[in-house]
Amino acid sequence: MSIMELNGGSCVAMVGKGCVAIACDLRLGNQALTIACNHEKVFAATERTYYGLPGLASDTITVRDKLRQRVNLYAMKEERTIEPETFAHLVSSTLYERRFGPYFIEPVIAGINVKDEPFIAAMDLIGCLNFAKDFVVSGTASEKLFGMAESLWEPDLEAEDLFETISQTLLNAVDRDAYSGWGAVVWVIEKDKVTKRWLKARMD
Amino acid sequence: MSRRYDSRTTIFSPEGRLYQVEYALESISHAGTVVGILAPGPSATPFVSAPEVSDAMAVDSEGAAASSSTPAAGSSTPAQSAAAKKKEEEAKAEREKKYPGPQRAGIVLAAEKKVTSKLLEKEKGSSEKLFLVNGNVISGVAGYNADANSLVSYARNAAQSHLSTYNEDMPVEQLVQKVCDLKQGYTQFGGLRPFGVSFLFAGHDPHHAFQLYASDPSGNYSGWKATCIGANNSTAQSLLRQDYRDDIGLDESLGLALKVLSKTMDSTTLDSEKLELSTLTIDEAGRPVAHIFKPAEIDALLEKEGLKKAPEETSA
Amino acid sequence: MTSQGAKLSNYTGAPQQRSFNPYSDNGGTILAISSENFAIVAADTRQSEGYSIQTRYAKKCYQLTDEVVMAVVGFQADGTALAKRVKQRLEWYYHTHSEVPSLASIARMVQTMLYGKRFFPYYAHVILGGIDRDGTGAVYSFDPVGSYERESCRAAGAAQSLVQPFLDNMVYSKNQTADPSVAPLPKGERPVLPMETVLSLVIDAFTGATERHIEVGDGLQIWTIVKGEGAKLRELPLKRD
Repeated sequence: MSIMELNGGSCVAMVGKGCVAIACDLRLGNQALTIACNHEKVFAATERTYYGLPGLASDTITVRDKLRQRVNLYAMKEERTIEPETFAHLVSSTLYERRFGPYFIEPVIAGINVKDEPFIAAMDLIGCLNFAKDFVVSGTASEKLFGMAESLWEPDLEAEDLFETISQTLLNAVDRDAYSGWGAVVWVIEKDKVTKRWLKARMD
Repeated sequence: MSRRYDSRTTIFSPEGRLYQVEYALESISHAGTVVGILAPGPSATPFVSAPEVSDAMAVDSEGAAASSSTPAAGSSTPAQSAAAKKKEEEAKAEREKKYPGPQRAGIVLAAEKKVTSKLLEKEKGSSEKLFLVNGNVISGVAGYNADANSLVSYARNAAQSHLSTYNEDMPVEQLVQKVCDLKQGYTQFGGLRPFGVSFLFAGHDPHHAFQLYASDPSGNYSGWKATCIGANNSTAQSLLRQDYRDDIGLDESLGLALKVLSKTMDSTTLDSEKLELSTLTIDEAGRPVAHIFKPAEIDALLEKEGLKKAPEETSA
Repeated sequence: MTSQGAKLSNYTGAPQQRSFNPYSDNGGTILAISSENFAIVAADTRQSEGYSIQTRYAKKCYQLTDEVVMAVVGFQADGTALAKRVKQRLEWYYHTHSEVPSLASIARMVQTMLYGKRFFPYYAHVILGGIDRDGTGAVYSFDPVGSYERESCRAAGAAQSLVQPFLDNMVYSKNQTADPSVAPLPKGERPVLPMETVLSLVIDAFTGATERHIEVGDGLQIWTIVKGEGAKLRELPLKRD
């Protein structure tokens, strides 16, 4: 039994043209038993930086709170909101602090920076960063997400098309994963607008 | 021979004084003035100034509580009362003309910046005397800036770890108490000097709504409706006592804070170079919103209040 | 060890276990998709063990009859052994009955052969593709011990988890709202797709899998089996990194 797979759940983030999207499923399980289907794993760090923390559910909550603390202190000390690139390094160093007793989560980050450029990143549970230019995936359905995203994603998708692409990627991937699914949430972040949508999904 | 007791923060003098703490207080009385005014908004209970009570504005003071139960007009003669009433009504009409619309509730903190040299670069950040301590708390400092920075940082960390533990903003008084506990420690445990800083904390929480606290280097703190720390604080205090009303609105409080500072500051000019200003209000959802004014906003407000004194062209 | 003393001191009398692992995993991915009157069976040509590539041109598809192709993935030795035996059985069948069995019959025979080794299984995932006796394109997929079913599409092997959700989405139109102007597929009916669409799906699936899976790549063999036209093989390159 792997701790990373105890509670299940998956996240994916994608780059579009002047926009990014990040999505997660809603399952919380205890191994094969589904406990809840309202367990969101994507949170807002700032108005235009979002991050997903799939993995061990208690660590999702703990790390989310820890990051909120650090983002707030950053905002007060630096008197500006944190950039997605900086936030990625903040998450990475927060995880590496626990190098030998890690938080069992694999974060995914998506945001739009001050120059209105899209940015995504992902990392492993000890904070090894991956700045991808196309898409990043994480969670128990990560292999399926890779397969879907690799065949559906294309460069310079407009916000609406990016929404469709990430939604299809997530839904079809989690439908083949027993530990993920049971509903999904998609965030599309544009330079002056953030949209959150709940997807109608298979509930089995 | 007070010198025997001077160097030790933790030793009482035979007169029962802690000299280092008093010296710290003295140093603060030379620092830039910081004014805090709590505008409770229209729903507040009436406040009546009672000149015989020296600190009538202290929220906790029993004197203030007792005096507020007796309307001021009730103790004076009918003739006086009629005249006073007319005068009061005129003043009210004037106020409403100057500050129209519904009165917002909130707290104002205004600070005087002491400019020591014209060669000195301004701080890169938005402010050097007013700080955001948490989403629901702003603070103004008077005293040693270096000490203040360390305490503000301490307060911010305390507030954030509370948020992270309980998923709730730290209650204002709890935060003030936490900072004051630290300050107090330095007046008791050996070998160190106390923090040379007084604070005003303006905060909002679901338990007691808007709150204004002042704290000094000894670790004492008290809640206020309007108060002031730093240089000329007795002058400022009496100005506040004169003009404070329990139904004062936020916009009027801003004007009052600027007026008080314009009278207590010995500088000939009054503009954003010399002033810092901030407010704490709540949004429609009841969440606290802190706002530290940008220089342009301060200048605009001074212009509106007719208090702007532009720096004169210095003759070479 | 030459010294007598050492030998004696090593001998403790306690039983020692030796083990031999008869299986290995040689990676690779296969898939098959069927439609109204054709089926496509495809496989990459990489064969690997661990991180090393044994060959960049390994066949995983075997033409069994004019209209049936079998793809096998898993342990290469078991795969070829199975294919060899299946072909042998089909030859015996031809000698006995002077005809080739139908796809459905071959599928059942493969299941018996796999189950026949239930307690020392072939480490092989099998997919059969071809034209069934009713003239429709058909795909049969098997697990290593013979569980099987007829489907419209199936991926197996190293990149199964990458490819299968994609096929669900594109072939079965999973999670796609139906076009209201087109009559919905009756229940139990299999999806009908044109050959060009299916071919590009297969190529997309394999280029995607090659991009993200180290055990997939080098070359792509695509068998197209069209009703009345027999089976045709086409080969395409895949990334070799």
